[in-house]
Amino acid sequence: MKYHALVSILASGICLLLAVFIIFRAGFSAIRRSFACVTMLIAVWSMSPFVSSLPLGKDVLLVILRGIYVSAIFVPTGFFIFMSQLLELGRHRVTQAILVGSFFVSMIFLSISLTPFFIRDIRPNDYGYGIVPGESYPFFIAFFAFMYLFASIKLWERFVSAKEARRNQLLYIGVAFAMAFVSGLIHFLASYGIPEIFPHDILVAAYSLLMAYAIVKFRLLDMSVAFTKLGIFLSVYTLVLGIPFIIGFRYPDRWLLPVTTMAALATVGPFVYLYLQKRIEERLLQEQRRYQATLRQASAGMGRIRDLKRLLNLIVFILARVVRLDHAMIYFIDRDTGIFHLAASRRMRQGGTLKPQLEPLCPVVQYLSTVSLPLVRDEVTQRARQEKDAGFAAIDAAMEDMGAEVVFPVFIRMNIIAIVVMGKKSNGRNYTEDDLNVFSILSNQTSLAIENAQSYEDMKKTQEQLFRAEKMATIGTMADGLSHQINNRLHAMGFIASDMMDTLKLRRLSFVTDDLRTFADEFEYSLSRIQENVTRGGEIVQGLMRYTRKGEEGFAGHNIDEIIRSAYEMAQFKIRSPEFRLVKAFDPAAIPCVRGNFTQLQEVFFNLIDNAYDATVQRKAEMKEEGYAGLLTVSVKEADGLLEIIFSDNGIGVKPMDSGKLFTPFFTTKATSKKGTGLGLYVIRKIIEDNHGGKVEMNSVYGQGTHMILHLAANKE
Amino acid sequence: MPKLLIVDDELDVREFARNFFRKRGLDVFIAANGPEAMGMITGECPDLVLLDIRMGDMSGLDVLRELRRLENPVKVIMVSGIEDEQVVQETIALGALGFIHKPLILEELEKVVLREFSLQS
Repeated sequence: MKYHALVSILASGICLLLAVFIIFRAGFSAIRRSFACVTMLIAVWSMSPFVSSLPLGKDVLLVILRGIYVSAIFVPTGFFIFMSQLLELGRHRVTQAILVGSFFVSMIFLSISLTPFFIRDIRPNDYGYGIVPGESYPFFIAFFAFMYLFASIKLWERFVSAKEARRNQLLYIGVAFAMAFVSGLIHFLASYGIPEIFPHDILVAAYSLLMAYAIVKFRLLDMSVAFTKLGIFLSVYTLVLGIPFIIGFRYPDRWLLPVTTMAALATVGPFVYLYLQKRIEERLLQEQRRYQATLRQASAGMGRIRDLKRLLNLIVFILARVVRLDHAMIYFIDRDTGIFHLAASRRMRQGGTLKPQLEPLCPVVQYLSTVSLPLVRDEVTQRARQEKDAGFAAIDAAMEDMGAEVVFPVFIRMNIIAIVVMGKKSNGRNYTEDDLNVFSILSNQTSLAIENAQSYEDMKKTQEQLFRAEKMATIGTMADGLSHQINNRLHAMGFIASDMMDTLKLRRLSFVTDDLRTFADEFEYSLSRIQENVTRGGEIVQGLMRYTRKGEEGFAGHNIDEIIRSAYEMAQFKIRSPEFRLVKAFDPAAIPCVRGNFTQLQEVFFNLIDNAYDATVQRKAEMKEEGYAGLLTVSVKEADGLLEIIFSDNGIGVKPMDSGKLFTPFFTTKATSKKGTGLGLYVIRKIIEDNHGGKVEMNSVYGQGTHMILHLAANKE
Repeated sequence: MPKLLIVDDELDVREFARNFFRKRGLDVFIAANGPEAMGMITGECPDLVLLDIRMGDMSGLDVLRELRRLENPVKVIMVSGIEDEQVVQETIALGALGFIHKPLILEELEKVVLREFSLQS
């Protein structure tokens, strides 16, 4: 019975080939390493029937077989390491304990492996020699069985909850290791004298072939391509070398025949091999290449688009095309409210409605903001059901509502800015690991592209604002000169009208007839109307001049009450709410005048009143308090020739994170609809600190109100 | 007849001011700029000059300085917008009788000018 020996060397050879190939061709990831390792151990172990059939003498064989058995001792541990990596059992406490324990047990067996306590002796059997188990041998069998069963239970758990593709992977691995296990069992039984029905190493060979098949078929261990190449290589060269061999064997006297066939086949062989390899690679990589090509295109395209709206449209388009989806959508955050608005969507099929926005309290939004990993509907449903998790149940319902199969977040610097929602695949299949990988790449690219587009838009906006500010400054300067000119014209007109009226008055006595008197009256009335209009025109121009930055007056003492009154008058254009009151909490007669430029101080006061008003309007709108009314109190304190003018409002206040930026030009927190220029506080600081040598202070509590304190010099006189 | 010279670069202002004072029996001359004003003053010897400060090349202040350099004692009332303290001080030092602020109001103009002439006579 040499069959056992033959099968043994065959099985061992295949296992060895598999292990070596994995190590040398596929790089050294942890899971491949452990798989190669356990396969190698099995290869060595399964070699023992072959070795025992060699005519080496009993004593030598006993030593060799004991040596071979060292590899068997580590099979359970190696197998468990591989399984825990495959199933991602991770750092679970039980797994860790079992791992450490199994190492320990292996070490104990190792220490006694060369003594009769483990393998007592060998005895002749059908094909050579078999082992005679020592006293500790049954413990080894128990160890072997325990490790296998524990890992198998874990495998079964994963198998039940896994999805299609993963399920098949696990099935093949389970069956392969089951065969290896059965092979081991037959071997154990044989060592207790129960005859083998068939050479148990057949199962070991089947194990390695099945694993090789699973690697190719289910892309296990990411090396299907390398493996297929090996398969083609082997089959092509078996033919190239085998056919001449067979021919030579059949016709031993015609030596020319095999040589020519050999030469012909050897010439054709490489071409056939290359051709097959190319075709197979194409087939295997087709899907992957499609993804990659689209992603490449996408990233090139996305980087170039500066318009946010167009960019988001492109992203949904790419998603829908790459993954072939029913529909895809992007929700983009409104930073003021935290609500995600539908920014772009693409649908392949009609029906259903799209949610126009996602509230910040939506469980999906909450989950993505904190966990930042993609949500897959299947997994969510499963976790909701299995773990009875209310959080996941809510997310599941929300995803159902959104028509979402997969949802992933887009982050920019730790802040979630967009949510991408994807519907079912057009072909009805499940999402694969490959898909999710693509999404994570796409998500990164998306965030880069969005950031790019956003910074471009911000830049544009800033430029526009700068441009507008410059325009305003130019208009200001122009208005200054212009209003001067207009004023002169108006004065001249008024002057002429006055003179005419004067003439009429002087000549009145000489108008003797009623006709002439009526004519004089009408004429005088017309002139007075001209004068009236000229005066009003002059006032308008004067008003305009107030706004121009350059105050015409020099520094002088000004009554604070008067500045407040005129500034409040300016603000009246805007202040409509009857629920805003300005209270002067000081005695105008008791405080000295402030030293400064009237126009500039008026502008400062105007800005402060304007800001206070906006803050109260915002508080009213946002906090919706019963009976709330806006109030601005102005108080003045005097000490050592210095004045402290305090504007206290009960508006919305300033968020702590914004307070540092308030005095920066173009920074504004005012709501979008009536956005400020962002220049108010900047101008205030410039006027008070640069022009008046004073100081501006701000104390604010968000939700309660703001104190703005101006430190200015009192007029000495 | 008392002689009044009105110097102003605004055509309407000087013409209608002339009109106004003629009705009040004054002999009124006008000048549109500094050099013209200098010529009028030396040629016509007015009793009083209303001198606008802001004018093209030669300002009212320049005219006044030139007059005092030539030791011309003619009486001058300055007409001006808002000027800084220094200009005001200098014109007073140069013997200007007073200031009339723009925008000109006829009643005020009348009062100031006629008072000057009544003092003269």
